[in-house]
Amino acid sequence: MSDSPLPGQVEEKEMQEMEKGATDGPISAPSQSDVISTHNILASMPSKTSQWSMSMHRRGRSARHRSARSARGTRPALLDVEGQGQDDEADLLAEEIAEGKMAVRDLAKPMDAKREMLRRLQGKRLKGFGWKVSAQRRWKKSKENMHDFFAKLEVWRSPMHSIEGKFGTGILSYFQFMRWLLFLNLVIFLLMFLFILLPSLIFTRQEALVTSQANSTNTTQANCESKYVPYNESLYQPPENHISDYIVDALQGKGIMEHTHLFYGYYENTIQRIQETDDFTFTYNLPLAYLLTSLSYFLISLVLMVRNSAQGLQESLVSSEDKFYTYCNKVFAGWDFCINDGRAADLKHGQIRYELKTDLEEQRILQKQAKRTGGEKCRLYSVRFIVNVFVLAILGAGGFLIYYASTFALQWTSQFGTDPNTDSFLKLLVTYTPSLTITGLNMIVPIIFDKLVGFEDYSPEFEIQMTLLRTVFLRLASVATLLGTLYTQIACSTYADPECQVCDVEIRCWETYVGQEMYKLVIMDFLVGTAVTLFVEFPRKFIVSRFKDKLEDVVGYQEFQIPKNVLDIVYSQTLCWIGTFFAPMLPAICVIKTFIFFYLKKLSLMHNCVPSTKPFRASKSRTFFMVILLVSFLLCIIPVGIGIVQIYPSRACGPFRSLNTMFEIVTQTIMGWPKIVRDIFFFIGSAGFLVPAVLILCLLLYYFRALSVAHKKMVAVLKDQLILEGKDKHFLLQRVYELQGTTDPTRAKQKKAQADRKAAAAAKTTPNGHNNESPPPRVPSSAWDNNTSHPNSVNDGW
Amino acid sequence: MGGSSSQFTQEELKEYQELTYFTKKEILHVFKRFYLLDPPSVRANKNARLPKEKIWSLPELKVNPFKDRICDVFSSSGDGDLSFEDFLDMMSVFSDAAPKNVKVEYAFKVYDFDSDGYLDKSDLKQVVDRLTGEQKLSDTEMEQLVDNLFEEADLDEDDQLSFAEFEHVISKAPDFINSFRIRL
Repeated sequence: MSDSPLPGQVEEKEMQEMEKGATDGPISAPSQSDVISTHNILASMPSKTSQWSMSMHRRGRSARHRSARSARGTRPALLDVEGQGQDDEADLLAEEIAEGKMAVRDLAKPMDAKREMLRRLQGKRLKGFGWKVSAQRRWKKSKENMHDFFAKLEVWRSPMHSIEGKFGTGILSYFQFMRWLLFLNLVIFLLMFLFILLPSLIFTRQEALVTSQANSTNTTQANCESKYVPYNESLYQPPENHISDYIVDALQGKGIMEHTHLFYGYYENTIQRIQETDDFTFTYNLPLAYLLTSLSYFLISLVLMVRNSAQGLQESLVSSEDKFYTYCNKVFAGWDFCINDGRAADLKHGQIRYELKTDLEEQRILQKQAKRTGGEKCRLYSVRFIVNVFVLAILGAGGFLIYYASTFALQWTSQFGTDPNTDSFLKLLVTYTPSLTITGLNMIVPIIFDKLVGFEDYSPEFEIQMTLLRTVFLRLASVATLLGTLYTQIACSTYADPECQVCDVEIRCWETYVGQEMYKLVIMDFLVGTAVTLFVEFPRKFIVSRFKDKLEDVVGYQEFQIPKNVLDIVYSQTLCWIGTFFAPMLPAICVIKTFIFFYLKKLSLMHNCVPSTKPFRASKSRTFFMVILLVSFLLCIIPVGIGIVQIYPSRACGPFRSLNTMFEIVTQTIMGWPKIVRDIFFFIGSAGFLVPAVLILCLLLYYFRALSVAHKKMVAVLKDQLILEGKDKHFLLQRVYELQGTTDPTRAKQKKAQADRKAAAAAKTTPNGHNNESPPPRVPSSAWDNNTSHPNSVNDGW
Repeated sequence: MGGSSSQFTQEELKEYQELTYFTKKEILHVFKRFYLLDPPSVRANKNARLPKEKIWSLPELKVNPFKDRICDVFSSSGDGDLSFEDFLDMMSVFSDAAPKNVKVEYAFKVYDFDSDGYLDKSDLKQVVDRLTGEQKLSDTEMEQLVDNLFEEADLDEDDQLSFAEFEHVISKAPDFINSFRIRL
């Protein structure tokens, strides 16, 4: 530090001088009159002049109890007024506990004190409310047993524990996310298994065929079915080709694989007989079950996701609402108490230090940035513009590449695919070109994005977000492009073609074809993921640790980057969602894949990785995962939705082969119901119902919005009251020391120093526009009035 | 530890269950961990008061920068030594099931180095110093940081955080509930 005062300091000093008068205002004003009774002092306290006391009543009893408890429990109060003894307090607490508002275990007291409280309570309970308490207890007990039971069911508890201990909660949340997805896929699989696969295996007696009202389709259907031969045994005659053919087929989902329950095309368009009594036959409508189950797996996924993300979202909304509290979060919630590993602890120290330093640095940079000159700004913006154009170009080029690859694969297959002389490996390679292109792009392009963002000179945090956003776009765009390409290939069909080909290409069952594409992507994703882990990450660690001195600076140990890994599994979940409709058993593969990946990732993490130097917070990440998942979920709904309501189902295969759209099965079923039910359904579908329903929803939305605004105002008011409370304390202390004639000089001095500093702080920030120059009582009281009237006004409006 | 379940009567276990956030099994697990800290003395007397040095050998505490404060706060004798009940208390507060407000109260005590009921500048400095480990922040950085902290949290501008202010600020710190816990 140089001797000459920095400009900032000078300013600060001046401000201090200026503000001193202002802050002294409320304190010195009452002291002008020399003789004041205690009563007057109390009356002139800042809060008494506002409606503070009223609000105290409003806050209710429990709040008062709590403040009393915390005041006594956690600190020896400055002004010791605890003469009334501990008993009152204990009684109050006991009462509160007995009423079931809190539990004995919530007391911040040592075990002995709690036990004492428990004894007291038992005495109390004998006196009064008998059955209610015992019912409560039984309920609690059963709840505890349930909790015990579920704790036993928790999968991967110990691996999670060791991950948490070594790498902290940020990375743990990634693995928790993975576990959650595993269960989601398991649920989807069970649904598909129970309602689609099992019935089609068990109920073997056919009752009727599902057909469209227009009977003309039936002949084409029969014709097409005979044309569609997914598995031709005659091609498998030469025995020496047998094994390799099987492997190739398994990887492509063709041949014998296509002829299984894995794919859409294998399911029948029949109504199966379950059981018949004398006058009634129980039947199972397979097409209807297929459609409803598919819809319900989307619905269940959505509900589970929303449920999971709601809490996290609330938290992160609260925290994003005021960026205000980042430092407190970093300091008071900075240390991860779960860490039990020395190296991890060192890293955590480093991480916290790094984070705090960068934050402080960033603050300074921001202050500097505000002073950026016009020329610099101009240059920076043009650089950013160019980079963004470049990014768009890359995305576009990627899209085109995927389009080109999938068109090429299809054309090549229709040209040479049926030719028995073509090498089967070449065939495999060609059919995999779209998947290979997508996977390749996903590997290379993010690295380019990573480099590009460096030129743009964003703040570090925003930089991460920006790269992530672009990568998400890439991932989703590549899947979207593939689906788009597929759409152009399938959607042109008129089914006039006697060969039953969709458009001009060699597809007779487009749903299975889409399913195969998804299946290939899933397999590809799995193979690449495994290969990268085994053949890149492990050797890297081996080499780096072997030539430690030479290579450590150049290559370095691998960092476990959460965002990238999350994108990977979200991507594979996207594939699973889309694919499940066209290949009902795909979730089983996804479950296995997730299961293997969990152990693979954990192994790689434990052996190869060091914690990332860029910290990633647990609370933030959970929301982030869910938001990305939701976005990709929406992307999944669109193609499947179009497939269900718009595109003609293939004539040759699948449960909907004779219908004009898949959704027709629902209308057909409703038409078969009694008239009254049908009418209700049609009414629900009509504008007469939908318009009022939407209106009501809008009104509800508005109501809750108004409510949340009111709550926000309430928070602001309470904040002001807290400030007032502090002012009260200040004011009272001031009076006390004045009256004592500063018998406690150190205290007084300290207070004086604090008052000075307070002035400085006040000069720097006037939070909520709350200004010290205005007399403090005015602001809160007006704010309070505002607020009390607000809910009423909302009610009046209703 | 073969007969750990025989260490406690059913009544004792039931009472502990009511006084902590643990199930019976978890309580026995906590006892096992306590036992492993110093097998001879616990075997002799299960209510033995273990010196804090022994307690610090718990892996989570060993690397924890606030281990002495944690022991002080939970010690019913006030000198940092913990009996089993204190230990159980501690693990209960740090468990997943403990509600946020309980955790906040204890966190406040832990961070309140001079136990005067307020977090003042020196408390905050100590907290930050312990968080950053051996390499400390420079003086100017520390000043800037403490200023920022007060700016965020010190609503009544008296240069110290009262419990109410601390509670308020923690309610806005989403990571707290994740970080202030020790897995059993």
